[in-house]
Amino acid sequence: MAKLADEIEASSAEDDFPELLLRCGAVPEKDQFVEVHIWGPLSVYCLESVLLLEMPPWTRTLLLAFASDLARADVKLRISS
Amino acid sequence: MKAIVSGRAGIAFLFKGEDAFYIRYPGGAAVPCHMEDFSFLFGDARDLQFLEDAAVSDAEALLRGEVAKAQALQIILILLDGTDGGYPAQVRSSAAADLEKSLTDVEVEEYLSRVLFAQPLSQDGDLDGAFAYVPLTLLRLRTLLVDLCLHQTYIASVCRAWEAIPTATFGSLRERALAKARIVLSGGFRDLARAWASGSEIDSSLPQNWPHDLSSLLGAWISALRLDLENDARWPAVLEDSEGLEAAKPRHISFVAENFGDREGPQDLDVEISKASAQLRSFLEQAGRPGMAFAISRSFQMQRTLQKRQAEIVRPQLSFDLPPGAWALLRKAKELVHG
Repeated sequence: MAKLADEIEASSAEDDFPELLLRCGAVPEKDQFVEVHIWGPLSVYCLESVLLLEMPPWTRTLLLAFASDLARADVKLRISS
Repeated sequence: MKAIVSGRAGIAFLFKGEDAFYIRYPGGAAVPCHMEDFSFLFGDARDLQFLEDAAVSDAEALLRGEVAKAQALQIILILLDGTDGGYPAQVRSSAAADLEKSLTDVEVEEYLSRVLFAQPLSQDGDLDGAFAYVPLTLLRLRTLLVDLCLHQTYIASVCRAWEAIPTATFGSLRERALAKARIVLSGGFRDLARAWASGSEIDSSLPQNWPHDLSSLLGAWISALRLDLENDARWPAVLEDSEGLEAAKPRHISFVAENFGDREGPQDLDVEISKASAQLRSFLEQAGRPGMAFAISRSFQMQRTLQKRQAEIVRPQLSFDLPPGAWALLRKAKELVHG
């Protein structure tokens, strides 16, 4: 919160948060992110939704299977427009 | 310049001295980075390929090839996955269509067979279910699956033999794992399973692409494979009677071989093969070898599947017999009994 306080306003929407948490710079040194360490297991069941900011270089099958895996775990898949 | 490439990560990492950059599949600008970024870029990917004196174009070409292999492997595992009923029909049909295209690339086809023959399918593996999504027009994929189907028994035997080699032979568990990875990628597991299945004599000159520095392992592996065979072939005295052995070969098989063709329909074939299978299984169980009976019966089922699949494609080329590997088992058993 301390790092991002200046960038969060009353008008900030939920969709704005991913961009605040991770921004790629021109070189890795310029990346902006909040690093989180998770102690313990993490599985797909820990997720509520997945947002694809850009389409990965996968075949149609891999995308369908990915969506199917998420659906089985009741995780929403959203693709950035 | 040196390069490290992973198809699974979709990354080519190039470096010379302290200068480093990476390229992400499917292409794009080279992004400067540090050597310390290596683990961040590759994550848990273990399919690393190394290039010395590489141009950027060499690394890009290797990256494309490795991604094609990694994705094809992932897709065939999706097709074969039967966990909780498997993936939805739309996904498995799409997987089959993707794979047929991928298999036009000889390197991808070779890679898939080398990897898939290195481990028997798990209990969740669903070969029969996969066939339902592979129409006759997908001939390359169908051929690969039939081949895989027919060799499951032999793949399991080759893997058991590998596990029976003492770790001391390798030096350590880590070296053992590295040796296995290299031999899998060289096609060693597949070649041995095929030789075993064909009934041909297995000797130390067999594998074509065997890593030379691991040549001493091959003898130990083949010895373990022969031992695996003998452990499964300590037959009772009934096999001393060669006529008894011959009688075990069901008459139905030769009947079908001689008569099947345009005059016999697939349903007749099914009945005849079932009779033959049951007869042989009964014989083996009476001989006190229920495990062997199961193995051969399973091979029989695989053969039956193949014949049925082939019957759908090229009916005139049918031939019927036990798989050669099964007869090799019987022959070996007889030799053991006779000393």
